[in-house]
Amino acid sequence: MQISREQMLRAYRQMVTIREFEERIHVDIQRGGIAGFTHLYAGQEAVAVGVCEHLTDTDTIISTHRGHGHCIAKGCDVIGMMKEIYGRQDGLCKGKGGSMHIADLDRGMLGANGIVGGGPPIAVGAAISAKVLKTGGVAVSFSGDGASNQGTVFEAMNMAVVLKVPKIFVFENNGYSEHTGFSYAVGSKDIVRRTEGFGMPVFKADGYDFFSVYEAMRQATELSRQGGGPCAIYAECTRFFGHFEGDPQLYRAKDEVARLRAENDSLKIFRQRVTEANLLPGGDLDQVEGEVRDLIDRAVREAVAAPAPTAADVLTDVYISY
Amino acid sequence: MPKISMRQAINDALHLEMERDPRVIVLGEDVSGGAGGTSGEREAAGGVFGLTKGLLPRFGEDRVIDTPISESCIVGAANGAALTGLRPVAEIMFADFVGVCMDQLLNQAAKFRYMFGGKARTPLVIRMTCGGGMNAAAQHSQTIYPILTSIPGLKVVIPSNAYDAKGLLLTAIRDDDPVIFFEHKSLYMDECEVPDGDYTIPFGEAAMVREGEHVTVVALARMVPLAIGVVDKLAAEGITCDLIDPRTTSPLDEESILESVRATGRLVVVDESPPRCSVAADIAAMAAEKAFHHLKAPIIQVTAPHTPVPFARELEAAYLPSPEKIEAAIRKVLSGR
Amino acid sequence: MNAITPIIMPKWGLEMSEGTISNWHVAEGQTLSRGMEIVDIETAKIVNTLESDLEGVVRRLIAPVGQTLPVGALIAIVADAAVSDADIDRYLRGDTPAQTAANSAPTSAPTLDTAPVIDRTEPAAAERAADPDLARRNEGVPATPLARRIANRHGVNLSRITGTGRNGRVNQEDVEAFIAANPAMTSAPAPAPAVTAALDNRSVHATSHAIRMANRLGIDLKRLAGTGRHGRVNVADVERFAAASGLTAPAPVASIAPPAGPAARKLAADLGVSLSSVNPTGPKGHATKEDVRNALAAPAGGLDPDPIPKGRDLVPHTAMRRAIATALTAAKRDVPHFYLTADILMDEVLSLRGQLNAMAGAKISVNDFIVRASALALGDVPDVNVQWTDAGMRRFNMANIAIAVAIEGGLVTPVVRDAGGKPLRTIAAETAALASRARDRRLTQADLSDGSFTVSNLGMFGVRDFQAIIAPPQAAILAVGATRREAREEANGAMRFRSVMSVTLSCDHRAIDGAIGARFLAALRQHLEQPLGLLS
Repeated sequence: MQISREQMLRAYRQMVTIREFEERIHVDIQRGGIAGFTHLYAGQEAVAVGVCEHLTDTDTIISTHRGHGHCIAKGCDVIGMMKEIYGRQDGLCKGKGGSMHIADLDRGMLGANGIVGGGPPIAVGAAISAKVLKTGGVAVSFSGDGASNQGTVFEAMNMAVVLKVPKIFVFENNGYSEHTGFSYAVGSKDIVRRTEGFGMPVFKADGYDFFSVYEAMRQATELSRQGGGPCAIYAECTRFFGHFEGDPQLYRAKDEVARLRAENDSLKIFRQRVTEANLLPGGDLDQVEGEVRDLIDRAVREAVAAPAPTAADVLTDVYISY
Repeated sequence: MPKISMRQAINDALHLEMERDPRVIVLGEDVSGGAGGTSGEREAAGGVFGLTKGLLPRFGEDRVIDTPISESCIVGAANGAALTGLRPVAEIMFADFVGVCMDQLLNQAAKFRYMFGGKARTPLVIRMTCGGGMNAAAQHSQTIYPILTSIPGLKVVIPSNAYDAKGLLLTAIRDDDPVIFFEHKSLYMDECEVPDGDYTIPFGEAAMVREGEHVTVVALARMVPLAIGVVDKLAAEGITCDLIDPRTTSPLDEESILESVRATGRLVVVDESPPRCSVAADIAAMAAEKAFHHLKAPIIQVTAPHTPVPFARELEAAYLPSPEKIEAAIRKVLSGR
Repeated sequence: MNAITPIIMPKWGLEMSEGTISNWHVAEGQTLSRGMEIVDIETAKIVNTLESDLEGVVRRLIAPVGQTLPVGALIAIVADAAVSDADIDRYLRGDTPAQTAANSAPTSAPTLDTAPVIDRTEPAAAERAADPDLARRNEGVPATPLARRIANRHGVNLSRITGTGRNGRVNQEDVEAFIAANPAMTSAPAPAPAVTAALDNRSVHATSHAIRMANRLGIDLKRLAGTGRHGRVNVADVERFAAASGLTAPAPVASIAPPAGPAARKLAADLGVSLSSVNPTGPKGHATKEDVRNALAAPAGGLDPDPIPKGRDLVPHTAMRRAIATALTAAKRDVPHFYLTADILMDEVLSLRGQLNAMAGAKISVNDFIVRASALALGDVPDVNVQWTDAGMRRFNMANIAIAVAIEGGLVTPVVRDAGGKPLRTIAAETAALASRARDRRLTQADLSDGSFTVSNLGMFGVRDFQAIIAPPQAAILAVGATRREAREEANGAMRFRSVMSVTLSCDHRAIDGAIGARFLAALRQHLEQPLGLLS
């Protein structure tokens, strides 16, 4: 595996940004600063960043309702995101989308998506574009173990194989589809073999380890960019928070999250791996963490101070006006 | 000017626009057909109604994409392709099948631009055949445009003749927003004069098919030729009607309808859909709300009954609005009671 | 080319559809000057003289005296002396001359100098006048639909045009060029400065009705900026432009009958009032229900533009008028009136009436309920069913209810005898028969005598309440107003809309005291608010 010091530092910065972003939102929601439904990505950072570190603005991703991490990893402006989540006029989507619908098409981010299983068919279309327009890009859809059971995802996998388009299906198994466990909801208990059954290779990764995901995605993009058609990445991971903010998580054992935070924290694992191998000095990582905390503080400060949209904004950005 | 069928007009428009704009692709079930068959005939279908015939040989498999039977993914892929630089024209073989891909219409295509704060362009056309008259029964005969018209974020086009179909389809493909293009299957063989070349018809501008002074008749799709027959017949008696074909139900040309109703004071709306929450009901409500003081008689809606579309010839004939029902409605609205 | 001008049957007034040639004032070969009388034309209403507003030589008199022709029909040809007979023959052979409103320009209605305005009120009629033969002939000429439409509209024979379109087809530009080169086809009257001679409004991006309105008003739509969808010109734009240009309000409907809401329309139909006779006072010139009632009440339908000045004519009194005057003057002078007004909830009566009338054969009016309820109330409170005489109080043992019926020139009060002893259906039938005989002036003295109490109902005219003058020797009269919808607070505090009717009892205080009258009203209210008892 080839990865430069700068790349590693950047990856770590992205992972820390996601973590700090989510932890901060978790707190701010409890303080009442944020409206609506919010699903936090903390715990799964290695997957989003490990995948997106291989992508450029030419490549597209489509995300899920749990989309903040994918947005950050794909390069969305963190302050614009925070403003959007706060429902501000100058948020990334002018306060019209909110947490579940953050998009930045200039970054190839086709949106978080509130419909479980809504994204993969759209990513097939993005992959058709890449093929027809010969951009050399790939299209990536993120789906959880829950979405992996949706018929739309099956349709998308089959069509991607039929059309042989550069499409990478990333399955992030965080153990729960909403409030229901993976072992119950996935009948075969084997997303990998089911995906392979559609006729595409699956690259397995350790969802807690950035380097593992990064390597799997390297192989995936190599295959798809070279006209090898679609493939998939499967990564087991966990979410540190509930399905949504406010979820009492009665389905989880009392100590589950504490144990995962202690043993399966992708940031700790990253730090351990790079420092033990003397790839990066710990001080550099500390510095990144400090800078990220400042950034998130600033993002919240600006979001709180930003103007709210007006009633007139309801009627803009529409296709048809009456 | 040559007379051609609506089928030919739509096929012409697709050829014309794919020729003109390399970003236009066509995808759907059997849009060429034949792939994987044992005959080796690669264009075995050209669409089940032949609307996409000749496209594959001319434009190749990259741009004329036969898909598996996967309506969700057809519309979804069209959505994604539209978001990323192509101008897809997807085909849903029968409008009834939107039942299995509603999410991609309702929650995805319709929402991108607004939900993403105006940043997304979704230049997408979804063609679908609709309507009764072929004894295709309950799951292959519906005019589901009221459902899609009710969704903010979709444009809905319903041509009633070959000339409009070509001009509206060219507008639809060049439009940067998602457009649902309904093709009434009983109109495919109807012919009229259609120019060879390129022309567009703007959305939201109704066609004043006939001009008159006594009654405003609004009709859609196959109801337009039926209404023309009735209106022309009544004209011989001295009863003259404004016959308005809205052509697009979203955007709806409220202005033309209201101006006419204000002049005639009488409105008959003819639509093949069932009555509840229908386009007819919408237009009637609009007239009642915005032209109330000009109405000389209660508005009459001529619609299908609130039932599924039946199969047997006699049943379907009884189900669909007929010239007799339209004529009776016009006479009734003239009686003022 | 502009030398040949058709003279057509003019349209005088809204209702003229045809006219008969009564007398030609000119002969073929005669030179016309402006203002010269051309022909007398008889319509259903008038005989009028058509005057020339152009100069030229009368070349052909097409329509002989006595012939009846539709509006717009060709009656004569005027042309310069230089035009050859052959040209005129060709013109007549190849074309039925222009008969659109625009081409009626050479003629004007001498006694109606508002003729152009009247034309505007019926544009469709003017368009209908276009010759169907021409349209049929044009059908055979290769032309675009739009070109054909314009040609038919302007009375242009397409075969006279050399097409420049595909395969020699006549297109829009061809027709427009032809019209431009043929002012005879386009010499539209100029009702206002904003008018242009040749209107090409069909080519402008405008709604159908905006185009029609602009054509009516002679407005060139190319001069307007549209505010509708995609910059399209709409009716509102034309109206604004017309107002700014000082053109008359264009709405054709408004000049015939005012706009009116459904309720006013229904009332007008029910009362037999023509909306065109209604003087609108509602918002935006709309006729209200009140206006409709006023039109009914007003003499001569309420819209006599030139009423006979007051005092100029003296109409002798009829015997009935004199009788009414004498009796009521005496009553108001001699009978000490007092008045009691009460509100009665009519929802139950209306509902019951609906149910009864839903049955075959029944046709019971609200007034029939009131008559019966009054009779029963008189039974409950017999002290009201009395007559004052100098000798003593005359008491009645049955309720003979007189009903005030308006007839032409006055009113009469036929009597339903013993209304307390008759079922509703009988009362309804008797009342209808009496009213019918009253209007036909066939009431007998027996029909009119022995009333003990009168009901006068002006509710159907929307009168809220009124005070009636007692008809001696009776001692009381009930004045009934309209039933109206009114929000009422219920016992539980809720607000509910109820049907409320106000009645005013006029009592002769010599015979009836206030408390007695009040008891009668209470009894009446009870009978009407619980009307099932009226069925027994």
